[in-house]
Amino acid sequence: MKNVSYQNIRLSLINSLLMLGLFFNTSCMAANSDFVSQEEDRINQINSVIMCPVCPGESIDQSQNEIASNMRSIVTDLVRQGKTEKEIKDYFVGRYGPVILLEPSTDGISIFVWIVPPIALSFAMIAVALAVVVMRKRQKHTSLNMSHDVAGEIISDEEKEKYFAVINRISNE
Amino acid sequence: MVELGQIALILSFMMATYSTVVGFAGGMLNGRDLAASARWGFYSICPLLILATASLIYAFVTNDFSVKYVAENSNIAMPKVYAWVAFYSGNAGSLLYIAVAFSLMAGIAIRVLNSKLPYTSPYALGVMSMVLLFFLAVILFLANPLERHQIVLEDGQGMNPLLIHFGMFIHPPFQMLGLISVALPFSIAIGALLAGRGGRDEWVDQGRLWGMVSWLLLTTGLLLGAWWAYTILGWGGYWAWDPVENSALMPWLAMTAFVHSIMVQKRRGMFRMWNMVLIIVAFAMAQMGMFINRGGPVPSVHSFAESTMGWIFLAVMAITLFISLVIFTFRFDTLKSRSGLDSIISRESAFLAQNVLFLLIAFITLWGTIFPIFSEAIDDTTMTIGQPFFNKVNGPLMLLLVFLMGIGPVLPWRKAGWGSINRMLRLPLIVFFLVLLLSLISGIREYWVLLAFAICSVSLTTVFQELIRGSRSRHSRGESWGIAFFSLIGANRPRYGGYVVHLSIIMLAIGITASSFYDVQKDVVMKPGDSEVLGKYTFKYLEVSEKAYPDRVEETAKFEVWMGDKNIGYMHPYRAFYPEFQIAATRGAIHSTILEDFYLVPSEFKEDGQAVFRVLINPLVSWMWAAGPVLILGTLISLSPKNRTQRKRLRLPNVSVDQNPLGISE
Repeated sequence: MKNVSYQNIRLSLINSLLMLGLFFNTSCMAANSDFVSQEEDRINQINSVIMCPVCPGESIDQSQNEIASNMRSIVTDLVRQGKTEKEIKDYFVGRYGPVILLEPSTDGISIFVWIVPPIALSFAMIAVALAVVVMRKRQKHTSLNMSHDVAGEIISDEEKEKYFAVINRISNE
Repeated sequence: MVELGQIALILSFMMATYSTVVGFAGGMLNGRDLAASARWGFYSICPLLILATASLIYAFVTNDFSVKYVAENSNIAMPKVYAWVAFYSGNAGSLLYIAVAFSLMAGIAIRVLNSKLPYTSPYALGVMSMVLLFFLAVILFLANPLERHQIVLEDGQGMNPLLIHFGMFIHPPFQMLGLISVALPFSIAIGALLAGRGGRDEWVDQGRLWGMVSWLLLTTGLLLGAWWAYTILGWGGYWAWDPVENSALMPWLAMTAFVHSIMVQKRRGMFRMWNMVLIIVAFAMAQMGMFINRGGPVPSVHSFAESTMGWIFLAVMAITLFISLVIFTFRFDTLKSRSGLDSIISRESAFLAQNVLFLLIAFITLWGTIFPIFSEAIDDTTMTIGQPFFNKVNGPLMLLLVFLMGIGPVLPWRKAGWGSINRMLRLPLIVFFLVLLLSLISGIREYWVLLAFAICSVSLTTVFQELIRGSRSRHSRGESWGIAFFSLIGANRPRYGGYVVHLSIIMLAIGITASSFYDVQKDVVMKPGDSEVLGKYTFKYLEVSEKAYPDRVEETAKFEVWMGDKNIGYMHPYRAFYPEFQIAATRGAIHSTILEDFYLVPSEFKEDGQAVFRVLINPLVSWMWAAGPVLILGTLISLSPKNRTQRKRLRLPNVSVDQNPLGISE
């Protein structure tokens, strides 16, 4: 018993050392956030939710297109003017329509986009619960039946002979 | 030569028709000769299609622009080694690629299947043959890559310049192979159902084998795609939740669920109905993937030229789904499970929860991908659903999956008593809190990152725990540690191969978490001679050189880079402009270490000598690419067959056919 827990402690030490190494790295990463100004971070953030109108499905942050870089400079100007994220988004929606945003809004029919996942999750949990209940019941039922059946079954001699005939035949092949 | 290929295509079509009809006939009439004939007919298709492929590649290599497809997808300037890429880069060619690759894989599958499952294989052959027949029909009647043009052009249009990269030699072939290979476990399952043997579980071994092969191909395709996007597209990311990416992800999710739940069926005879429905759904998703890829309704960077083709795939998907479910309903009664659930806390219920989670994520991905179509139809509102939505919703669910991946394998079958839970989960729980504490101390504050690292460490701990305990018990019986470790894995390859795969998933999870939350991005304007600093990197813009090629102009920037005090050499990011396609393609220069990637991309070269560059530091990205080989290794270990000496050849008794010697009534 003592031996086992010693091993376990060694194990957790090894593991923690591993994780420790990882996290010292991560702490360097966390410090990374100082490298870029907050303003620039904001600009990048906003860029990643605005779609480039001529490149299907890419944000202006991703796209290499000229139109995308023009839009990026517009965003930079607006951020420097002190506009909030909502105001900037509204500005682009005003010019291009709601399709320009990569994240669906919460008004109108778009609300469904956000509502359905939690509903689906609830359905999934209910489904699993139901499945578990049904499978538990079936298990109880079978084990009850089985014990009942096995109790009184005796194999007749002819059947025994049949079984042994087949077994001998196969094992002699 | 091209005409030879055309003849080969027509012959293949005829052969496929033959094997479909005769295969099903052989199954229904129990005719061994019919089934054999169908099989040999099917085997003959692969060489024919290889001939057709060869004739197409020949046309590319000899610049035969009278062939419409060659004219559309290549030009004289294209290096001929890219004929392989041009072959499948267009719609018609990719169909031929899928057909020839599938005919090869299915041929091998049928060969194996016939020796293991003689009653199921005629039906399975019929289904596989039908799948191939569909592709051949589309090729012959709608999109023939060998079709000749009336007008012969001097030079072709050329291939999309983004495709000229090493990654394009392997990502699309693997991806397409992955999608069509889902047809293999599907055919086996449906074949077993049709043969009335769905409930016998005999198909499970082959189902698992081909399911895992398919899963491996899908995963490789996805990882290669992510790697290609990262290294070639100059945006610093690797997954954009683009509709085509999503449509490749969904069958992957379903197949991951399948390869797990099939184990429960093998072990305990449970989930019989569930697995049937699951593989039917997985195949439907794979077909949907092919639909969205080929002129689907949702715009994507991946789409082939818009065509009506997509709707045919959608129709076939709907028909396949419908017929499969009808067959399922008719054979429903053969699929009752052998046993039920003994306890809510058990490995079986962990598998159930995991399966449901995978399907939930697939549903949400589907929902986000096709909702824009609905909203436009119903409300006339156009919208785009991109990264922000998917990351927010799918991210936490996937993290939950990583957690289940950690505790599932250490839960016992049937029933987990408190004693075993205590023994197995005590250490992981300690590590969870230890790691949480360490993360907080080292300055991490984002709660998703904290949770993600802690959960990854739980999974890591359980895998290590299993490996160490297993090795230790062998070691205590006399083997040295090294031998104990390897023979442990060798003795139970499915299980320990699976652990290696789980390790690769943990590496992926850590890489994705770190690079998503801690990536640093900055745009800088520089002229030659300027120096900038980002983090511990100093980079000096030395010069830009311009080079003109027949189809493009390339501007290459030369940088000298220092990491701290150490000079790490030169980096050469470049930007190429293709006037004919009006596309600019950038190639970033990446300096990769185990900790992070330093990434330089030119955004714009201005007239006045100034240039705009994007600089990125992406932490732990190399862990993601390193995870690939680990994953492949794990899957191969898991799939490798037992040694010959361990397997006894079973021979059926050489007596007159008495199907029911014991007089047992079914």
